[in-house]
Amino acid sequence: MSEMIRADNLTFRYTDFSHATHLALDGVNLTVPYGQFAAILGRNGSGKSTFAKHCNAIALPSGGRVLVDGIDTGNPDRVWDIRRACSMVFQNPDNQIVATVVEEDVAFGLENMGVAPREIRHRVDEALRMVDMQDYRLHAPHLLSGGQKQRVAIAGVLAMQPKCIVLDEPTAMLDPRGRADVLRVLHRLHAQKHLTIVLITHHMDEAVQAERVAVLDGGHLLLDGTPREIFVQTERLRALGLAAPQSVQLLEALNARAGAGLDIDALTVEECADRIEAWLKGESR
Amino acid sequence: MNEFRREPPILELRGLSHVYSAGTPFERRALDGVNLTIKRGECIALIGHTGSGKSTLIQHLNGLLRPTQGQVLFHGQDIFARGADLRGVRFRIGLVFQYPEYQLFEETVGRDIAFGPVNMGLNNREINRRVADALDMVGLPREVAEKSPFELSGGQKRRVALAGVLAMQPEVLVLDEPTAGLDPVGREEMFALIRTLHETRGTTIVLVTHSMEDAARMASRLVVLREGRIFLTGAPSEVFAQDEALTRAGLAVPQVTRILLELRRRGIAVDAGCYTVEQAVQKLLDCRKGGRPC
Amino acid sequence: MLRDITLGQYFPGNTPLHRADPRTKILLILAIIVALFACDGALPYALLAVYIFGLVALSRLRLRMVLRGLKPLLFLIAFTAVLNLFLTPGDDVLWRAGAVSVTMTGVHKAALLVARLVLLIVGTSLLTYTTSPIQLTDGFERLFSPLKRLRLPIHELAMMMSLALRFIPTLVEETDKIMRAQRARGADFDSGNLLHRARALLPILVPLFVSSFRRAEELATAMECRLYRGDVGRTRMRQLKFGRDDMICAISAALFLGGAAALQLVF
Repeated sequence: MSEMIRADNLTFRYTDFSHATHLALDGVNLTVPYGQFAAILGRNGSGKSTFAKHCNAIALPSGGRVLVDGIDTGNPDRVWDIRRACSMVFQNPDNQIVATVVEEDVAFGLENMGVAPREIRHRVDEALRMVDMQDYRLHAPHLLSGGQKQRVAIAGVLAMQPKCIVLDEPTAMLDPRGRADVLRVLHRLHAQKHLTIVLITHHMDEAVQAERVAVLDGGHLLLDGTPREIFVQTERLRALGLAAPQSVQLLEALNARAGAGLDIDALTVEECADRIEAWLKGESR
Repeated sequence: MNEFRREPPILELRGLSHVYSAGTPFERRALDGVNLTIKRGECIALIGHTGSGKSTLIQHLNGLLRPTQGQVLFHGQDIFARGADLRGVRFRIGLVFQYPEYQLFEETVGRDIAFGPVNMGLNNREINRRVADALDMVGLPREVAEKSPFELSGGQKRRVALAGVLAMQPEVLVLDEPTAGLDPVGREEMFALIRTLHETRGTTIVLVTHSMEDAARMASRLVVLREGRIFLTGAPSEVFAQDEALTRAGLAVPQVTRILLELRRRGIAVDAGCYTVEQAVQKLLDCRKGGRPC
Repeated sequence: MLRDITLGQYFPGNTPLHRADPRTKILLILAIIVALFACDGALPYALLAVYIFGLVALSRLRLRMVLRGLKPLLFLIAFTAVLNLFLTPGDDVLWRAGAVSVTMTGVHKAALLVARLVLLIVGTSLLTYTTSPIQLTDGFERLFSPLKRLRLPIHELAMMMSLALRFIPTLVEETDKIMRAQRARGADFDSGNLLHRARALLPILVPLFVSSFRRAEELATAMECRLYRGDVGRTRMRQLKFGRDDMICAISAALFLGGAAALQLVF
């Protein structure tokens, strides 16, 4: 039992308006080990959100199986345990906040679990601190910004002390500042609490910061590896409707236009600047 | 020539201020003395993070919000003047809100698109012509007109909503975050569509966004709002050179701009006022050709 | 326009009334309501008014905010007052014009009615202004939990109330947004006859319905993910207990409401 999430040959079928059957997921094999920060990248309709729903037994496989914390999601008696081990945060922050006061919303999951009041108080305060929202604990959620609401939602699942948090496009509706705040919090949870994080996104720049990137398209797992391995495949990514970081594109273009002969796997501004600086200085000498 | 020079700007804001919930504990000054001139046929981008006042500003452009102070002039006429036809102005200045697909309500796509033209009081032939034309503009097949909007995919719904505004054939099109929630492919398609509209129909475009990158690619002039005031304005290259000011305003500059700025910080004399990979490559090649880096 | 609705909104604070147990407050307001209906004399009403506005001052609520809550009901109050003023029969006629007359009894009745309605609204809004909706439903649930034995769905009702309260501002905002979007396409909500106006609401109601159902579905999923399964084995973060602030409420209520009752009986 070394994997947090394990999907074996996962297939999911659904029927649309006109009674046509589609395969949202088609034979996906994907495992996420404990403690990993994994990003699942794909365009709209790639099956990435459907995959997320399988991590929490919200959707059940049409074929294959999914093990979460070693428990088969097909076992109806264990759904409670699966959802305790693996929590989920959704795209629209408005539609997952239950209470009219921030701290009461964070407490909601714990109240459902039957945790003692004193312990709830303690865990709620701690969770709000982890997401930098302690100053807002008595605020009304509808007056918060999108990024703040999303951090409250994260605190709400964090307080339940899961092993893993799956986030289904948590930043799609946020502005750049809100996105940066949410990402910062996720990396903090990963580093300090050793939580497994599965981030579903179509933002390449969010995936770059993950430890591992899996790219889904048309219900298939097409690429899987470290960001450095994935993001140098510029042509392949473009064909999938995704973009490589500008740093990689820039180095690749310099190689093509000026035969610069640079390694293109630079994902950060500093790395990229290092290589260009060396090239410019080397050339002029 | 003289005639041309005297033509007033298509839109002008003079000392525009707006205060929400005046006299309550929630009182908030969203706009504070904004002056802005938009010329006919221009494509400008209004940038700012949430709460900077950009959504409030655009709702003044077609009279959905009344200024607390100041004026909005359309072709030199105050749209809030006594006796002015505010509803008529709304047909000429189309406003597409964020996530417009959530406004669809009719049984068929065609009838939803026709909502604006019907309100304008056009005849049936003209309405049908405009619905067909609007569907063409947004790149949807005409057969879609018979479908229910709720059968369509998210991206298609957004196009239908956009078509609903285009069918009024506005002179100015204001778009609030038209690519919010779209993936890279959907974003490219939306921008291509807006560009075509601007180039082939000469529609004046006001694009609201919090993405500097998108703004720079689309617009010839950027207007950065911060706390209800105009904070920076100018051509993209001028605005982008203000890296630190933009960061302070909560806006992210494209990675490629940051790479060039980082090189400058290291003493390499490269021009950093650019925002696409192609431009950056050119700047770096120029820099190398120019001989020794300083 | 929709933003002006303040009825049912909570204003956080740290006053005895804010801190008191919601059950105490519910009982207090119930007692005030009973007193308002039981009394009809000028003196007891003056005392009740002093008490209710005293509570407003004690909870540091702005009087203007509280009075604004009356706005939506102003028409109703004025209408019933006018009816009472002109249509109350009696011998003590003050003024007469044809079939319409104003009697002393009418004046008395109209004044009492206005005072009763205003104090009722201010009194009940005191409860919602000083109690977070979730505390309110919490108090409601606990106060009426003995009724669960009669198989009444008290928890479910409380949960529904609290979700409704949570989503009212969200839906108000959304309605506002949809209205503006349709206005931008030339929709006209303010003119025409009743039928025309009713039809003009369709472009608002349909999208609102669609989005509410979507929200409901997403919310249900999110609640399941946070292990909600009804009233089974739930605990509460906030423990309710009878404290000093509840004593203040209870004693003040006993004094003022008792005083009002005494005045009513004596005069």
